Amino acid sequence: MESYKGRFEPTRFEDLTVTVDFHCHSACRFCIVQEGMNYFKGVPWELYTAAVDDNRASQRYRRVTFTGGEVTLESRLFDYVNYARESGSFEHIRLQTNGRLLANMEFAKKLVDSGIDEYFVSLHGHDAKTQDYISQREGSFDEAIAGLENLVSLGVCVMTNTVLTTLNQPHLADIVETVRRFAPTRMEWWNYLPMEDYTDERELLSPMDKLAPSLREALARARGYGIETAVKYVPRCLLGDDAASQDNTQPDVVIVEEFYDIYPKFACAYEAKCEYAESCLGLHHPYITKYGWEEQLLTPYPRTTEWDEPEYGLWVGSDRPGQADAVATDQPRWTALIDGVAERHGAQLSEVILQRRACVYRFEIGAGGRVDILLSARTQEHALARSASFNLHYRNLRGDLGDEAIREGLTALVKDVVNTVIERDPGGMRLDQRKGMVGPEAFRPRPKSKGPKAGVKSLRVLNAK
Amino acid sequence: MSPPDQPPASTPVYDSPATGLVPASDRDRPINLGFEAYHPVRPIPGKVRGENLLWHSLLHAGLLDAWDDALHAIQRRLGRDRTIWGVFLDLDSGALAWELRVLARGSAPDIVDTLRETLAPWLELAPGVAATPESAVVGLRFDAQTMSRGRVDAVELHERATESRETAVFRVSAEARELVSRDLVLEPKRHIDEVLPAIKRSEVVNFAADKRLLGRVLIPELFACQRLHISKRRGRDALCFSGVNVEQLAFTYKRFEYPKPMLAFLTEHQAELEHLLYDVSVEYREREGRIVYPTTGFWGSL
Ligand code: SF4
Repeated sequence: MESYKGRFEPTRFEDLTVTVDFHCHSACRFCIVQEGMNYFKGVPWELYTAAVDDNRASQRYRRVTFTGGEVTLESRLFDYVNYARESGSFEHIRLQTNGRLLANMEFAKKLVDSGIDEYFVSLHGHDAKTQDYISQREGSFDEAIAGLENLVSLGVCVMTNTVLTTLNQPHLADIVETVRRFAPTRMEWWNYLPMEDYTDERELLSPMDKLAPSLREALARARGYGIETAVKYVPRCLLGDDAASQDNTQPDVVIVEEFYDIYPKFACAYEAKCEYAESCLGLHHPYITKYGWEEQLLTPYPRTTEWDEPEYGLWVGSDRPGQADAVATDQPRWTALIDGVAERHGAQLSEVILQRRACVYRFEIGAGGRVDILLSARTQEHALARSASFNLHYRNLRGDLGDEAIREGLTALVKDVVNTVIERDPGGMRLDQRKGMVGPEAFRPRPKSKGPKAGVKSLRVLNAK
Repeated sequence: MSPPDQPPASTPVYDSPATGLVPASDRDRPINLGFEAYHPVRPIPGKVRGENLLWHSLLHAGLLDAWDDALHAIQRRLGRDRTIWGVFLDLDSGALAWELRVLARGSAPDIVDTLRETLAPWLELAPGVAATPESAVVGLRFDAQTMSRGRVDAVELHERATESRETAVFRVSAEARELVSRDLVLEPKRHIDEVLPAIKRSEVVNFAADKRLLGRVLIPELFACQRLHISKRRGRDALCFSGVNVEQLAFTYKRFEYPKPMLAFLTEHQAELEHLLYDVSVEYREREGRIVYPTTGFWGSL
């Protein structure tokens, strides 16, 4: 069975994130870069410029975000930013940073002058003691706060990002108090994702019965101050009045394909019962293995539509907070390929599911008739048909196929969709702009394994506790 | 006797790039542990049959020569994809064991007799035992010593009353008939309201005492499956995650530390086996507040 539930993939195609490199002068205890990504290099200049050039033509991305490691340490950062700015193809240029170097007003001003108008600053502790302990660098809190002050005085858009762990769980509302004077546009709360520490030997995973109340208090506090919030990787049903702030969408990241393979996957016991199962990831596997399924704590929202195994992955939803679960039929480029076909058959285009590996058109016809037409990258593999850019397949044929009228209706619909796509596909259409962009040259050699993979080995340890 | 559903000569049989492996064919109709046939989930060209995992497990255990002819005789007699094989790993001793399951078909001759007759050149099967009218499935277990003993004393009869979703499994020999398992089959996600209480109704794990334990038995990596077989056995419970993909099978090998050559074989041929779905079973019980796994196994069709 193929299920993509919980597979972590980019879903927000309006944002492009560029990993310049992975060096950092902090050493956050939860850092996923330290854990897994150290082996990845940044995006080579040629590939980056190709992506920007591509965007100049396609206008696909509205925002480019530079990240690392700590991207302010990179000597070539300004080359990257200048190239993006000069392309004129992005509405916003964002920097993801720990904010420490921004304590230097001259440097902060240089960044602002270069065209970076949005600053996504990490703040994991409410005070110096907590933040410096987490970052393992004395003075990092004071530097980040000074950086925020500088940014505010320069009049740019400031957002904060807090990774939720056992280390800051009791102080989440205090973090809101700490940053409210900067009037951030948005505060994001990202639950910690173990990459290679499956068994949480570092004890960073906070149990939901502790984390959720603490987070709810922080979200309510932010709401009271008029600060927008966004939460990632915490079950929606645990967010109380701020459930709509759950936003699990991800920008396109220009990075090696394997990046997504090391992300933990997710599951929820109530997947088939919950209205939000398509946008809420539930709990990640390492969490479930450590703390259980939380079946008493989670409360599914009753479904209003029939549940199906989500074999196509997360929808590409809107990038507005709380809208990630919006039904994604608003994909003009893609609906243009089959516009008008449904009407010719008295059918209805109920969904366009667009993700990195496929574009799926879901049609409903008559009483209970349904079929998906799937477009995947054109290859020589077996396919129902091929258009200039895609292999075409049909899937999930539903309905009483013993009924001749239904069978013929579905057959005619499938033929028409396939022929229309073949006719209208101009060629050169791509589902995933990045795929194949970054190859093996982007890896650092990994040290030789000293034994069985940590996760597997320590599962035994975990069971022996 | 020629095998009844062997592909005719005109059926395309694609060469496996790996020499010596049994190639997949367009005629394959693989079945799951519930004997439901399914369509392969990837195109067939370049793929190999799941039975290669069975042959390799026997090779690894040094038993391929002993069992090769006997198992092929069953495959020829009953037809391809009519028999289910299981390979089990005892997590304490590291020993492998196997099971075959055959579906009894209405008016067909007694399936125990058929198996007995087919295996007669190699071993004596459950003398004096016949399938009951309720027997839906007959199971035959064997291990490293079975061939040298030349005899299998008992078979397992899976019996299900009409209208019941529960199957009772009896181990039956000429002398005894004992209940060895009660199995309930549900869809893991759609039937979660029945799944959770059924798992928690346990004599071997006190789930109420520690909520974490459920995460150790309802393994999240395997939860995305098509059917969940919930079994209550003597001194242990088991979950069989039916209809998992080859990645989940590989996860199981790693998670439960299957013998390295078996993992290497699966890894080498993973892409050639990705058109199939597998069934993974995990037996468990609680010991001093922890979950221990006496055996785990996986299934495919012969
Ligand atoms: S029940 Fe599950 S899917 Fe629904 S909101 Fe809660 S965690 Fe998310």
